[in-house]
Amino acid sequence: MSRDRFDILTLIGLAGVVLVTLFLLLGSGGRDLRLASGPSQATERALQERAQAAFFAETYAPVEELLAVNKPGEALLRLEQIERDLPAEAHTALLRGGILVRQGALVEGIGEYVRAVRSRADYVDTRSPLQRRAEIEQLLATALPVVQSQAQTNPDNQGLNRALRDLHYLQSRLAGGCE
Amino acid sequence: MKALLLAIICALFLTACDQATPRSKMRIGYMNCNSEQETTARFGPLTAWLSQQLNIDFELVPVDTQEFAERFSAGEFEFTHSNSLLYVILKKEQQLQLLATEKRGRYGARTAGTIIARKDSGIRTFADLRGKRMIFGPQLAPSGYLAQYNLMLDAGIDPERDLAYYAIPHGSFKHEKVVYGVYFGEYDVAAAPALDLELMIRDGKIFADDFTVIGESPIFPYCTFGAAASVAPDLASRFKQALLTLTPETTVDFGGETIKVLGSAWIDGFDPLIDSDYDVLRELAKKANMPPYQEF
Repeated sequence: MSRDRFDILTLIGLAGVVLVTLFLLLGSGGRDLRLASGPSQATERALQERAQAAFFAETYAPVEELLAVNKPGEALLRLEQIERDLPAEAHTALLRGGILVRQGALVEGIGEYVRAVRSRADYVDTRSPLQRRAEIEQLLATALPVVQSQAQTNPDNQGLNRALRDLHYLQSRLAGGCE
Repeated sequence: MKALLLAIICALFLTACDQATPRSKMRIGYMNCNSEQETTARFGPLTAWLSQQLNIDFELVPVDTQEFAERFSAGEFEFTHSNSLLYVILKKEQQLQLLATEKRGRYGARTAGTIIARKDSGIRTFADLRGKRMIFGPQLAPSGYLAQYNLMLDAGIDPERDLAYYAIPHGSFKHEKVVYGVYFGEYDVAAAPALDLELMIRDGKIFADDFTVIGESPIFPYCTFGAAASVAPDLASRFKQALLTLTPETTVDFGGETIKVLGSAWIDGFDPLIDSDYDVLRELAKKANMPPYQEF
């Protein structure tokens, strides 16, 4: 079968396309493909963090407003309502912990802080926009001496012993300890 | 042969001893929250479990709140499970021994009272309560009456003079009736226990957004187990320890079923509070001229 000039030109063109494609795939083209598949991990993380922060700000705004006008009991009820839509959400536990401690239910409040930190490490992560290290440090500074002293005078009180363990757990997480 | 005969005689004696010394019998008076049937169903498994643990045949005695102090004085039961105000009354008048405080809801072994109105009612502050129709919980309810009565007195509102009128619902489920009374517009404001609001929201019966909380009391101890002064300290201590060892996983065989003791009684656990933890309640009772400090 003889080939005319057009066939030869077509074959040369096809070979060229194959070569260019191979060059792109094996060379700098790989980087371009990665770009084409979506944002980098760092971008994704930043987006996720901002979306999370905006979501929490919006969802928990009524709770924060009630706390600002000194209505902790009503804020607690709003959290109960939110929990129906977002069961076991760590941010609910974190806010509830703060309210319970403020109301004087120390053991229960400390338990809620622990629940929050166990589910979302961001609260003790210095680099996270969600971090609440100062709040947790403040809790340790005020509650630890009280609970320690009460637990010593009431060694059989399981609630106080649990609260003491919880405070030590928070202390270790702040110090960089793992779960 | 002689040894065998001796062993048989000893065994017979031991069996006879067992039959001759039956377990002692004691009674636990449980304050009815809603009805006798509910009290019996809730606390039957716990009573059976306590009987097992302490080797005593405990009888469950359902008691109406208003009759509780009188029936206790009459010696109708040796152990009590009641609201914390009844504990304060019986401690002062009958030297009731404090055993343990029940945990239920977010505040654990404590609770609080709130004054609520519908969000769209326009009632926002204590001053807005003047001339309004209010519904309270039962009179001996610390978080359904006493706490709110004090909140109003502290805010300069005299419930006896400044309200258009106030009422107390009849029958069972009084706390829920109080909340629904406001929700459906029969009353302008209500004295609602924080725990009942929490549970009703959790169960989807009401929405938190539908109500505004005009006032919230400080927290104080919740329902309490006590023992009569005549109960030996050792037995009282064993009773208390038994309660404190209960976990949500503890079960008892009851009525042909294996039942979770705490779950069946709607209790999360028990805390060993001390008598001075109840001082906050004593102050409330004194200010509101309520028992055991009532003066005429």
